[in-house]
Amino acid sequence: MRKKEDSPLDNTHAQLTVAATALAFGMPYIDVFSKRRLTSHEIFLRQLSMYLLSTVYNFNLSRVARIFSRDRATVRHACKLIEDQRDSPAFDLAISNLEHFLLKAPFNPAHSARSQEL
Amino acid sequence: MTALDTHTLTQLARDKAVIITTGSGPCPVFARGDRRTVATHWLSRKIVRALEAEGTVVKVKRGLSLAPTVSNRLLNPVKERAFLEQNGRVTTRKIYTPEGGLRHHRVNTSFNVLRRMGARRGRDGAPLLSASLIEAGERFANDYHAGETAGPSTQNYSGSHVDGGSRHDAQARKYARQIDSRNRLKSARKALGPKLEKVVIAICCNNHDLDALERAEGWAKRSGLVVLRLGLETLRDHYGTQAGQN
Repeated sequence: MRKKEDSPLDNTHAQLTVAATALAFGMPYIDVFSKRRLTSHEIFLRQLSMYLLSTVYNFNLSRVARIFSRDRATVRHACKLIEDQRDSPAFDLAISNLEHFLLKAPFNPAHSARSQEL
Repeated sequence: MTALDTHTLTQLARDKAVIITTGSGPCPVFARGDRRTVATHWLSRKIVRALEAEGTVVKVKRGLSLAPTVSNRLLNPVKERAFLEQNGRVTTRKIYTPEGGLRHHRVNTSFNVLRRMGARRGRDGAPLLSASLIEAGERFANDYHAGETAGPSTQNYSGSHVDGGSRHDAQARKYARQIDSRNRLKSARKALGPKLEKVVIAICCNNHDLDALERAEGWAKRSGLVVLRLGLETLRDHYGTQAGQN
């Protein structure tokens, strides 16, 4: 169920994040939003996308959970796993690059407000 | 073993880790190759390539794993240390990792690629490398490392107020030794020329695997030994290490 804080652009942000993550780690684009059981590669992709959505766009855990049709605890678990793995410098560098890319992605908050009205 | 520190390598050996090289970006490392678990380490592609080139990791079914010889040595440190204390000549050297970091590394100089090849014999029963070639290669390696670290490679027997003065000039002597070894290295490199010095530095100074070098340079198998021998023969003539020769 959509909450007041949700924006119609949430899914667009999520798709961009998943696509960027898949490209960075050399995986094909997978529909991680579906409810089917995913393989370990796909789960990693989904966990990383969840983490990036919460760190880059400051979405709270419930909002990320609604995008992926998962439980809030699943998102919290994903964020914890990714944050733990950032101890490795090589992984940290890759994630920092991704965060930088997503922050630079074109996004106008005014458009977001207009789409909210529509 | 230069690309990764011993602590990380020991962890990989203990976990029986497998490095997954599919995809792009950094390579995840999974304990026992189990991808359902969380990656224990992430290694950059540069590091993985370096590990593969120096023979620390070998190809396995799912990716890359530590070579059995390396993991055995890492998992039996007591045995290794006891052996080193009896037979080793351990020195500390500076090592630059592929990512540009500087690390101090303990090396047993009595076990190098040259000695290992010297112990092997060819089809005709003669050793692959003669003693004069090994000595020439080791002299080159000593100068190569002494010019970098400026550490004394031998015992200093000069007492205070003997040999012309006090020990106050220890630092100056250290730099003088460094400059001397750099000059010797410079003349040896000039004698070798740019093509041969690449091979000699890789094998004698950095202890790289001859097979790995052949693969990296795209040479035919077993041709590396011929090139190395050419380089060492030039060095032998340069240093004059062959007995009975001028």
